[in-house]
Amino acid sequence: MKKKLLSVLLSTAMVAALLAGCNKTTPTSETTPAGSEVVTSQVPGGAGDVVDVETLEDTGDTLTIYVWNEEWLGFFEKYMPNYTRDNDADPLAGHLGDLPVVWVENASTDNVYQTKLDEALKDPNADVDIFLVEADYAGKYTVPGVAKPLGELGITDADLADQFAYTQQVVTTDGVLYGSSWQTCGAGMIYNREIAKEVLGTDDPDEVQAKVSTWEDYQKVAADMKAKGYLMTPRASSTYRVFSNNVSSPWIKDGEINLDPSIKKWVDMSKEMVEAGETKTGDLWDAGDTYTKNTTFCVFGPAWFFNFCMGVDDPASIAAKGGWGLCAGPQAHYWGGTWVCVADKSDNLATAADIVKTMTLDKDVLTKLVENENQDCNSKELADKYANDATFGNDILGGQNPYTIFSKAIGGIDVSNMSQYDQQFNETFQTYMDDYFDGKLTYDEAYEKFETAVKEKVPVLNN
Amino acid sequence: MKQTKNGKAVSFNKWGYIFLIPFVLTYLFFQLVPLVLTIYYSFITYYEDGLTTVRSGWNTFANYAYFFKDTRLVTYGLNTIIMWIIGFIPQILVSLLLGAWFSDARLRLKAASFYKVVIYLPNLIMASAFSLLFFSLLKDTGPIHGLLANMGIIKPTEDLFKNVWFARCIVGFMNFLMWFGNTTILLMAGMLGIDQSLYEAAEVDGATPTQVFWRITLPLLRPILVYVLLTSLIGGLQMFDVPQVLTQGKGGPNETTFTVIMWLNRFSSGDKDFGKGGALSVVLFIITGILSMIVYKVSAGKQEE
Repeated sequence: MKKKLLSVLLSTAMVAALLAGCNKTTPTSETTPAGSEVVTSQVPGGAGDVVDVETLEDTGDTLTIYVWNEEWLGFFEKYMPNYTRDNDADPLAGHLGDLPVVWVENASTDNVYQTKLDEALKDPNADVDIFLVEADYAGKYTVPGVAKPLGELGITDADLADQFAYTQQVVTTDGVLYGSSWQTCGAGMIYNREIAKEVLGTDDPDEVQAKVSTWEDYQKVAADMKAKGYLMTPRASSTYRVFSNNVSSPWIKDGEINLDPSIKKWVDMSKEMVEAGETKTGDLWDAGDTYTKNTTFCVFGPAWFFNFCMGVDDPASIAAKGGWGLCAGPQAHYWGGTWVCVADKSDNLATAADIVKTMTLDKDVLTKLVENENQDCNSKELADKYANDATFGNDILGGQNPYTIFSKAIGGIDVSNMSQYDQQFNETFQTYMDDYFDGKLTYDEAYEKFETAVKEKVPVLNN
Repeated sequence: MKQTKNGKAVSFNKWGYIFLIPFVLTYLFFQLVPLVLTIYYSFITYYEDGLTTVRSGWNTFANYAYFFKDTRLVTYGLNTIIMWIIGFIPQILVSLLLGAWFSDARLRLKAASFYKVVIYLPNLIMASAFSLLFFSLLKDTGPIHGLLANMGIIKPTEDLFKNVWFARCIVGFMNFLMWFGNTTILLMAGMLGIDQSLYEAAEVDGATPTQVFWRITLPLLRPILVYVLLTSLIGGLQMFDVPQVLTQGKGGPNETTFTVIMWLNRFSSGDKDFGKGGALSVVLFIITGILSMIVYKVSAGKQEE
């Protein structure tokens, strides 16, 4: 009898344990609230109908924030009042006042971030309050039913008046604004001062700029660098964004894949440079010893490059010694940017609205982001102030003021040719062009393979 | 069957069924249902566009036709098979040798169980972590690359992963490292199951160890060998994580390490295309079935001679 009892007990426990997992069912909806079209050219919109802040409520017991790296999390910890990390070892959990905050981090590579975010947005049981988006795919999320219009968060047009127009165009759909960013991403050519002195005879930004003012001159300098044993850029893809963010047509035109002449120009230039040994193919984010040794002349990037890519925390790095210089380079451009969106289904709207206001619109926070974090802030007033402030300088640049250069770059930003598929196109295109640069494929073969592969990643083109 | 005091038989069979419930439920919900759905999806148009899902009915094998309109299925299939063979040949040879040593009582190996654990260890590491390690060591900015460049064996600007056969051999080598311990243990189990009296008889008759291996061990080991070959082939056809991580999903250089499952992954890495992904899965299932059948027929046929 004892045996029988034991068996009953064991099997009940087992079945119960098995079913315990089924407790939380997760029905997936077949259709999502909103269809999203290819983002077409937009006029900067307004915040939409503004609601009274007082009516916003917090009903959720946790604030969940989706991010693809810990850059914004770092700023949040420093500048969001009342926020503390629960335990030093784990950056992904904290408390904002009494409200627990959970950070969900997924790498953006290979679309992981978007996949996970999509799942969470579609799943009615999953909690998403705030999520970040990049310019490459912002249009996918800045639609009704996915993100909250800023007006519904109690943010008025007056609050937003000081932002740069392009940062609003990126997150505007049908005249309604769905997100806000603390940064602008005007970019320039960041060069190694010691190498500049040795090869070009000067490290003065204006004089260096004069030597690389066109792409023809740039390639001449690259040849000089090669002759002295230096690489021009760590990777062929280092210059990709300069060309891809200066396009005059989108990747998809009338339902067909369209290659803009500007990107073709990048292909031709990079092929020559790789063959001449002036740069290398490979992973853009793996720049080898570029930031620690004098091996490579320049990289192209915006302000977030300074503290995010250049290894400034390492005392042996060139950045820590202030060994970089900045000039506009052959072509003005911008790169990337992060926007903060509040999920339409957020159950902590009051807190979420407060976070958007504090972290992207508050002048004090923006000032700190400029002065302590090397950020290029999204405020015309502050940008003007710093551009004309002779005493303001960046340590990584040996005291040079980056604002004068970045501000000019922002002026020329045109985001009208972006679409929500850009990340897939940009990533896939560079992958196959590397095979062309390496001589494994002819250009036509590489382009055909790119087309086939990208269609498989963007099924709307393949069905 | 146990008799109780009043002479009634107590059947424990029903407990067996109850203990099977977790497996059956898990199998039903996590294996059978997705399996049937996959086959169903492969016949319809079903994909995502951003946050919208597009789904329409029966599309008359259009998903299947997609995979036969060019030769990529063959190319990627051959990549997969080639990398599997590169790994499998050393794997089976080394495993046979180690298995023979470990199961040979006359050798009196010291600390045999220690070595058995050691050779099995690579299998415990996650394949993706293992290949990330290899990638970090060998990439053009990695330490081994630097070492080889300093020794003058390769050019400093050369990227090892741009060499087709290097990339393929590294994938094969990693599969070998991860799986030879597992194969050794399987073969050893087979070898220990062989009647010891046969070995003793052979010894008495003056057979050399080589003769014993070829004439006794190998023929009697055939059923286990066929099993090892089949499971390894099926696993090999599904090769994914090692080349995926090693080449960052690119299958480079020029798609020469791009496997069928990496292709399948492409349909789910961006906006998902359930229809085509389902069709490719079914095609791979059929190919695996056919290859397994051939291998089984060939080896089973030999056994009956």
